[in-house]
Amino acid sequence: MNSQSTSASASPDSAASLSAIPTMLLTANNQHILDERSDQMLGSPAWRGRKRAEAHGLLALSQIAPRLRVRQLDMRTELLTMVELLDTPVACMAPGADDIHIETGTLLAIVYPEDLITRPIPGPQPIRILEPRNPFHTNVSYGSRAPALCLGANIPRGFPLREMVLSAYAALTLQSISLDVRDPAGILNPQAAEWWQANRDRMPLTRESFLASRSATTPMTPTDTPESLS
Amino acid sequence: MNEATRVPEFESSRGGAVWRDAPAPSEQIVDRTRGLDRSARLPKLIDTSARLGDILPSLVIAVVGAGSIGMRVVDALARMGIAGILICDSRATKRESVLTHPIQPQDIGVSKAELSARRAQAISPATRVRFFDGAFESLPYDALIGVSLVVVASDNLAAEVAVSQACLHLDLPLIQASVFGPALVSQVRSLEGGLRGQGPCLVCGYSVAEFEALDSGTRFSCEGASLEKSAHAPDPASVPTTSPPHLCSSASDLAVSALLKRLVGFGPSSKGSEIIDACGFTSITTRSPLGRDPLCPLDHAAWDVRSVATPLEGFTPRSLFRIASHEDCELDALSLQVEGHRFAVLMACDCSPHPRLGRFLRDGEQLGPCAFCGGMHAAPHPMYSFRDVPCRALEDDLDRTLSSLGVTSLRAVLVRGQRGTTLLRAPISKTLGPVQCEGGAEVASRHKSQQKDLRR
Repeated sequence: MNSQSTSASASPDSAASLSAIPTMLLTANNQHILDERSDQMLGSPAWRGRKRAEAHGLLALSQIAPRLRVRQLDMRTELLTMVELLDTPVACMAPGADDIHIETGTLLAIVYPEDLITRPIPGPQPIRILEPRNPFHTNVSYGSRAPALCLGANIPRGFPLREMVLSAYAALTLQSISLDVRDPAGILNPQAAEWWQANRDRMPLTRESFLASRSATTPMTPTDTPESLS
Repeated sequence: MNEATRVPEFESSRGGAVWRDAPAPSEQIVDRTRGLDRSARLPKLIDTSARLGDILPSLVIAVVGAGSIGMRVVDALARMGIAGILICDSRATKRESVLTHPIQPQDIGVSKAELSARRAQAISPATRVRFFDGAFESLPYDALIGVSLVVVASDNLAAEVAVSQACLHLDLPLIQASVFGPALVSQVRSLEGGLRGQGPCLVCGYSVAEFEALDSGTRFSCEGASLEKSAHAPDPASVPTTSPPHLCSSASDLAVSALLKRLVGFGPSSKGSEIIDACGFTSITTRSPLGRDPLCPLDHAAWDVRSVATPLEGFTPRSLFRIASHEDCELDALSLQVEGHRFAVLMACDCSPHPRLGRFLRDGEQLGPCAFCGGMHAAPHPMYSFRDVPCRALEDDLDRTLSSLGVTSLRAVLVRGQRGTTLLRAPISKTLGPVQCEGGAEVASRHKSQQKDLRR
């Protein structure tokens, strides 16, 4: 499956807002991607319909969000996608370091499971961070090359894929974060929770909204280069 | 100790027992009812030639939720001396349970499933009683095979959804019992099985309020989350049942009546699906038919269930497609799901590009360091690992055995294709023969001849 990047620059609906996404017309390129992936879908009729709707929402979001690029989309069984969030500051801490450094941009893998159309799922289940390495965040796991990002105690039934992307941006930029180790939803990195509690003055990493225009920086070149799948 | 009758397909399949036997009652207890004629108090039903005494000893009933309603259902089934009872509940009794459950104070703090099983076994030593002290969602695909009917009496909507889905897949009749204390309502939904997905499920009738309760009543904990494990079972928000105990009795009695009518074929409502409401406030009992919601989010397709004679790990993906009668399907139209495993095509590590892994990983299995880059935290690449594996991803491995692909101790696989989904089960631990599914005898003999051709 070849990487098909989308761009927000060529959008026939620049004035569209998030609420218009479900009915937004896709660009010819995005529509082609959606139709091609839809032809490969397996599963029950309800699940296939849902996958197509969620993929449409994600591609439509990429048309109005300059910082979002959809790098991979696999709709055969589960709905798998790899998205790049450009100009997104992510706090990282190298092993052995005692202070964070900020990386710009992130590459996320999102698994949208069929279970989600009938029941809530655990917060850490869908999203893994592929880049940058060593993210340092209370709600990001550690000890894995693909750490999980927790979006909360649960992800409600039917939570849209595009909302996962928005929530991930808010979480990674520390615009929304849980720091309380007594929170019943739990913490994935207690050391990070303590550190950020002591360094609240460094939060958030940006106040830019997700849909804000990108600053003039070069896009991240991820080291995670996927092979093509036939 | 158990004077067990022959119960078809009630044994655990290879891969480990899931259901635990109920604690055996003492000899003293068994002696008290030894030789008792279990049909001595069974009535001769009107309007049918069916005899309860002939039918009950062949029934195997699963009860999900052994609380104020479910525990009473189990008691009633044991008193009727049915062949087998499976009990599933993840919780323990609390002090408040004394107010609604048929328990004694000394039973506080005990697993509900085990307590209910112990009670049932003492009442009917000849009944094969087994229990699972855990969430229904944790049970394997084939845990309910061989069951005649399922009763769900749980205040956990997520469990109810999971039970509904399992009954649709296995084409089982389902009885759901509940109460609404403020109006003294006991309610039973009785859903017909054997309709290959054409009938309604519980979720077909869910209102907006029930979906909202499902969302708000489910919480998971991120603490120490082992993220390679599949998270099956949420921790349900505690919503205590507020109901006088007699109402729970009423609901359980209605459920048992509905169960008997369904399985014996007795009375005008023994066919079709219906909801029965007995309202104490108005003293009126109503019956209404239930229909399928075409927009129901659950998958209503029934599985084709087949058993194999030798361990599943010895089969190749291609041979599994053949056994499931999908051998003529295009690869792109097929997927394979190996219970308890994910297939990782690529590994995520410090190598660039990411190396091919190409094997199944058991839930929770750690990869260890990468052999090429030495990266200590290698993980299955999330974009290229699948629980339901599209068969194109297995293209290079179609003729390798599942064991050589990393699969261990396997109970079941699902093969999905254009003709539907087939559940293939491992051999059962006792020699009771293959699954008596539709055309069971034919399937069994076809399997025997196929095994010689397809193994490896």
